[in-house]
Amino acid sequence: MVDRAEDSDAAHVAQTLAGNQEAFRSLVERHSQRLFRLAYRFTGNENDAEDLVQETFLKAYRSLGKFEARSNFGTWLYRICANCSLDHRRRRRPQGESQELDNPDGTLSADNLVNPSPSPERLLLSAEVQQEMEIAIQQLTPAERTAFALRHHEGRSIEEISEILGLRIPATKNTVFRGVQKLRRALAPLVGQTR
Amino acid sequence: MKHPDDEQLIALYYGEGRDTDSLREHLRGCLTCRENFSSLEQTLDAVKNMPVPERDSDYGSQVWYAIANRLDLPERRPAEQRRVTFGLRGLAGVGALAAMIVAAFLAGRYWPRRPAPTVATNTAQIRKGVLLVAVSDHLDHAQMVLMELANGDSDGTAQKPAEKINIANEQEWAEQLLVSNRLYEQTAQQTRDPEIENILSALEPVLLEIAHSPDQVSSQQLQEIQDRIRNTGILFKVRVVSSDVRDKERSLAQQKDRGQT
Repeated sequence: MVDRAEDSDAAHVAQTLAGNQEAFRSLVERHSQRLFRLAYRFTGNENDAEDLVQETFLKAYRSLGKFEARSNFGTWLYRICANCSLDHRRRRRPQGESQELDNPDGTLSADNLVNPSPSPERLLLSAEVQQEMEIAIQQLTPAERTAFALRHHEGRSIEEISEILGLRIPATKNTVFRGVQKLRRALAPLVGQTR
Repeated sequence: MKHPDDEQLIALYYGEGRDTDSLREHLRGCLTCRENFSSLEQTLDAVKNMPVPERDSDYGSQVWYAIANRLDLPERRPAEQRRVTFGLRGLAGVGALAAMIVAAFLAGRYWPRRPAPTVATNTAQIRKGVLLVAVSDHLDHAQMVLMELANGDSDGTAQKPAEKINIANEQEWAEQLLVSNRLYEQTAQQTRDPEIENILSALEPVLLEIAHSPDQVSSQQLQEIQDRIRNTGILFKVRVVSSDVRDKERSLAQQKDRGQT
């Protein structure tokens, strides 16, 4: 099934390169939903994720000649999306924005913490907890966030992430590790309360 | 078996790593490690369950209509003017690209030319534009490396003072950038662009320090690098010049457009 989809992707790429724009439309329609989910994990924002999806397809179209038929088209799109996302985050980060967590020990500031005594059920389900998690993820560096999303949400192996980000394997492992550790520290107060 | 470190536990969570059977066996018998792993699982599971907003079933068509009129012709062959994107593979070509640009500048400057004022002005503008685009990319990449280092271990990921932090990727980027930095600086000197020359000159010692650091540094060593980045204000300076360079790029493009009409 997967092989058939990949064959079909490769065929559509070949048709697009031969001048058939409708073939590219099929690729866009097939991959948009999944790419959006990934883009959302990278950006944490619907509008930015939608922009990122469009930018990814535009770049993919312009670079279609570089796509190798033996490769997986989905993985290739991921790579473009990851690089676009890193570029985006770099360009859009305001100059005065803090690059670090609010407190030196890596936890979130008191203002950002949820009510200290709600029920565990409320904590698990509340929008505040989700907001805290989003804040914690936003505090990761662009590379950490991208590598973490690929590993954690997309289930990509370290080797695949290394290929997508163009990093060496030890550096990729280290980037994922740093991201997880930062999240653990930032979310420690919440996890402690939900036990 | 000695207590597993966090790296091993993270690998276990993702079903990777060696010796997972004995690791699980250890967790069964060690309350501290079991609690540590359980806390890791809770955190990562909670993050995994964060919802992603759903798109309509025709989202793919919506994307298509949004981009259809912006599609240019796809490249049939690998592009000669490939834009450098973030990542080591992209950076690997930076030095060569810088060398080509410098060579082009030198050629334009020293090769004998026939007097043709209008053409010469246009050529100078084009060469200036090429430099601005290249330097803009270069500064973006430098900014990325500095940011990664400035934020690296910001929460004390290396929990024990003796624990080492791997900065091999940042170090490799810095090595690549150092080569192009020198070439662009040389070019900026020749084109008499003091703003670009100054920022590249300020960037060089910082890149040099990063490039010559060991792959693995202690928290203290990383702190020293971070202090240097902060104390020199290099990240801020790079951002300011990068923004100026983009403005110049835009202005040059507008001049070019006006010249064509």
